[in-house]
Amino acid sequence: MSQTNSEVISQVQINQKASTRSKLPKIILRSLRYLVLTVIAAALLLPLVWTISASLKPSSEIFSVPIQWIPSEFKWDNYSRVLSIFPMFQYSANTLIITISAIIGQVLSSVCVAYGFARFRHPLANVVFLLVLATMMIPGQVTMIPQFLMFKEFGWINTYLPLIVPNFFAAAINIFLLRQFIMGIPKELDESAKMDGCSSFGILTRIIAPMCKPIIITIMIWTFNANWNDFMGPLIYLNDPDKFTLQLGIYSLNAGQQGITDYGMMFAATLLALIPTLLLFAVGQKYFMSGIKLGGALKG
Amino acid sequence: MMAKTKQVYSSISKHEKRNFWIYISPWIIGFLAFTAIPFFSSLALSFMQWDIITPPKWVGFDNYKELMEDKIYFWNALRNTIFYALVGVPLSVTLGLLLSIMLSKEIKGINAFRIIFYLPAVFGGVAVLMLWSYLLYPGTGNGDAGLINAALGWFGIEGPGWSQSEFWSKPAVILVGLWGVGGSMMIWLPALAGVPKELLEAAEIDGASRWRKFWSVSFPLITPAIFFQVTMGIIGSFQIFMEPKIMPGNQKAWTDSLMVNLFDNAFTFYKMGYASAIAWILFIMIMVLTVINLVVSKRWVYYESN
Repeated sequence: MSQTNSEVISQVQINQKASTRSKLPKIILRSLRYLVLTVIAAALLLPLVWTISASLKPSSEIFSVPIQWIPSEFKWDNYSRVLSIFPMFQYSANTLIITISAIIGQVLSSVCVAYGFARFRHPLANVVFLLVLATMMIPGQVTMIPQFLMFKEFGWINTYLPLIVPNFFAAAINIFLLRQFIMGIPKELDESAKMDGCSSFGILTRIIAPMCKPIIITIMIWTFNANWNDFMGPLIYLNDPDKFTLQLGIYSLNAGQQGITDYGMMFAATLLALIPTLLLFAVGQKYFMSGIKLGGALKG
Repeated sequence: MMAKTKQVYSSISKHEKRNFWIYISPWIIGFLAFTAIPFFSSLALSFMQWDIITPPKWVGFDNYKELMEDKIYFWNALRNTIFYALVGVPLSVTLGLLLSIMLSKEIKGINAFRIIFYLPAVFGGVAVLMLWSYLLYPGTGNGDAGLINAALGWFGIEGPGWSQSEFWSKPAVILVGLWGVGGSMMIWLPALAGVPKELLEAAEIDGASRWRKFWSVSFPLITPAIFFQVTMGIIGSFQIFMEPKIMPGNQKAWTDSLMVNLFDNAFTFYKMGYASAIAWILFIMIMVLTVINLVVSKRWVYYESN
């Protein structure tokens, strides 16, 4: 937020100009902005607050109107009951195996491929890179069925392999982002490392990859989110309940509970399932919200 | 020009060319295995009848013909999907942009607001959709009601039946997506920040109003982001699956999307050929829309290089 002098001066001039017009609207406008922001923020948070409150209520109170925000009696055992009948930890562990493998795969392969595109010249480089971008246009459902048939042929149904292996082959969007970033790293760094006898692989692991840290963290977070929340993949490939992911487990819990209305427990399960995402968000908040700039990004 | 390019290329060492292929090989292998070959197999499959158990049979355009005649599932799902695109995309693009404009100024406490607005987008997956099917529990502000209808009751509005009503079940699906609209800040905020301050100041000195400043200065400069969001929004809404699968309307047909239709045919009924035909129709529609979007965009999207 460091402003240069001239910026400050022009800002002051503008403020003066505005204040000579009239002072009141600015204050009103500012408080209005805060008011609107607060109202929207409250509306967005309300579902979460409601769920927390619902997860601690006896089922009979959950849908009563007017809403009783503080439960008449705190049913902490909603949580212990979930953990005793719902293999929360096992499902989380299963999901974590898939998610961590996917993150490792995406990072290794994307960095490697992006490095190839950013640092090595080839007459076909631009054509191949266009192909990378073009694959972003092919929606997953077109390739989904043949992929399923292929993995079935491999005997991979009911294993985590179909959910993990494709991640080791670099997603187009990650290649794109990393390539942009690597092209911004001065080539002189590579050159001097080369002088010191560093191989291209050494340059990648010792110079390029460490410098890509912010993008890599962003990619890790995206990959985490995509895999942690994935529903269709596990739904297609996993049918042994012991291997279920968290998403699939919660889905089956709900699907199996038709007619049983232990809502308090449902909400406890829902909240528990959100905790890992929330923790990661708290830690990596800066990277979660790191933006993509489109304007310059499209220029090679 | 040509000669020069050639010269540059011939100066590239064999070693460098080889390294290029080595480093991008993970992508090449993945592209062949998970994109190119499946892509063409899926096209071929769409002309076959195959239940996995008995050998596949070539049936020409039969799958497509059958689809065109299937008013109950295919056309219904198509109509629903178009509704999600037509209503959902403009709503989420407009709301996302409006929120981001409010969050674009560096004012006190802005980060806290940004985090809160972004938070719902972080929560994804089954849990959130299930949660929403309870938040949208029908009932009025006077009787047993979910949070949304109870909240509407505070303002004296009688909430609709949501999933219990044919009309409201589709808006319910869209509403869930809107809760996470803050996620689009990561596109909007950098775009808005990219509008040069000098331009806005110049406009202000010229006496431009707030609205005028946005419309004449900021808006043209963020059109690439708008174009991106509309394109991704359309593609995403054509692939909508989780929402109608997890929080379906009282009658499944009210909310079923093409993707649900595709999934059911492929993985419940094992009609691989028929499902592939749905996939290809979806793909062609997405392509056509993207191309139209691209062509139209030449008229309104502003790139600095022009």
